[in-house]
Amino acid sequence: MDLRPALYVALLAATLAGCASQPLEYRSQLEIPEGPGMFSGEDGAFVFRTRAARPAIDE
Amino acid sequence: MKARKTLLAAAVGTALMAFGATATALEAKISGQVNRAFMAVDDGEKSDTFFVDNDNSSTRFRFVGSAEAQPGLRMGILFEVEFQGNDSNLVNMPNTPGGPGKSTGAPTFGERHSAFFLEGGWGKAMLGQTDGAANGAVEVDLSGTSVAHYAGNTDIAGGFRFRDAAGTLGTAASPNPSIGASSSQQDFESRYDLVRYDTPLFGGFKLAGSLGTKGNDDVKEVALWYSGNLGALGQLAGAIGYSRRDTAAGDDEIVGGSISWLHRSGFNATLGRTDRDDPAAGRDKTFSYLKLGYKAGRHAASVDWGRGEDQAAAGDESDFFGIGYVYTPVAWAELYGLLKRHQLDRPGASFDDITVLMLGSRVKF
Repeated sequence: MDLRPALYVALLAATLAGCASQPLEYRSQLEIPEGPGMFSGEDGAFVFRTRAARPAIDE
Repeated sequence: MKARKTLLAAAVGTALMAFGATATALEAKISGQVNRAFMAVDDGEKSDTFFVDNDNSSTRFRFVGSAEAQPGLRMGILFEVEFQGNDSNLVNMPNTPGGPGKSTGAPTFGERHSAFFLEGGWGKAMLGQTDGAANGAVEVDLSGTSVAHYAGNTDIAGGFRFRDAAGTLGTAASPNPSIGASSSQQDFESRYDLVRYDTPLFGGFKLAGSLGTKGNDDVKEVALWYSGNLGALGQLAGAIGYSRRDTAAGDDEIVGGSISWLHRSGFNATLGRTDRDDPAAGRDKTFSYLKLGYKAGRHAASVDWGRGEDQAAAGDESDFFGIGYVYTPVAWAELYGLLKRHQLDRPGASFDDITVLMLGSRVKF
């Protein structure tokens, strides 16, 4: 198996990554998008939380 | 399915009440999306229209629940199913040998993820059906147009067969090659029953490994993922992966990856490549991909090119060219369009090109 193409990709990634100033969480655009939902609003999901998990503003 | 939903709701409710009583911080989220599209296809001899579910990012529901089991250790579940009818990767021209034609029949639920996870400062472990460690490693893409087109070109119109010089689609015993069989992106082993471990991020890098079974075959995957903010140079993401599936014919191995760069100006470029050693076919199969795009505000547009080599048969070269556009009028909806052309060159044979037009919308609810 010819590993060269993958090696080139890895080398390019590693070289450019050397300039990285801060990590970034990559999320595939093929998954359900982040952000608000049509019916779920700003949360982007219907959220159920126990009292201990609720933000302080709910108290 | 109704019984399953009732059971799930009862389980969530019981868990919330139980954990609530012991002051455990438990959170559950239910989300989903609908992604339907109109598709028109011309295969050189005939043209027809289709109403499909876009397999690039199918209509689906997701349930994620987690709780802090002890300080520094979070445990939870991920359950996701897709609900597709007339899958865009399956429909094809009426009377195509092997079908299904314009309709795939009644919509069906399909398991995507059904897994348990543990997460902490040491990384994340998963058990159940979910992504293999390298799944998606050839599909890293920052263009903002993936819902319209990406390396997985066969997710749209992959079921269409190329017409030969006689204008036929082949016979039931010997159908002509399809787009799906000619230019697959060979994205490792997708989702299957497995155990997987991901390291924490180190300077934007993480390593992932998985062991599992797909059908009767054992599967091993490993991948290195990277994503970082390069400041004035924009964002960069990429991955390289390796998978080995132990089939009856021998070890089916795939190596490859992708890298995508989004400049602050909105210009973006994506490159992907995979090499597969397919023991059942007795040859190596390759896939190459390039995408250039521009993203500004609510608009994203891109052009792409890809080539599958030796996939459906030795000597095959299957190229595709696409133009895609995505408009996001509100944060929860995308409207998209795609125009794509597929070609297949085979020594000693002649096939017509296939042209695909798609217009659709993905709405998150």
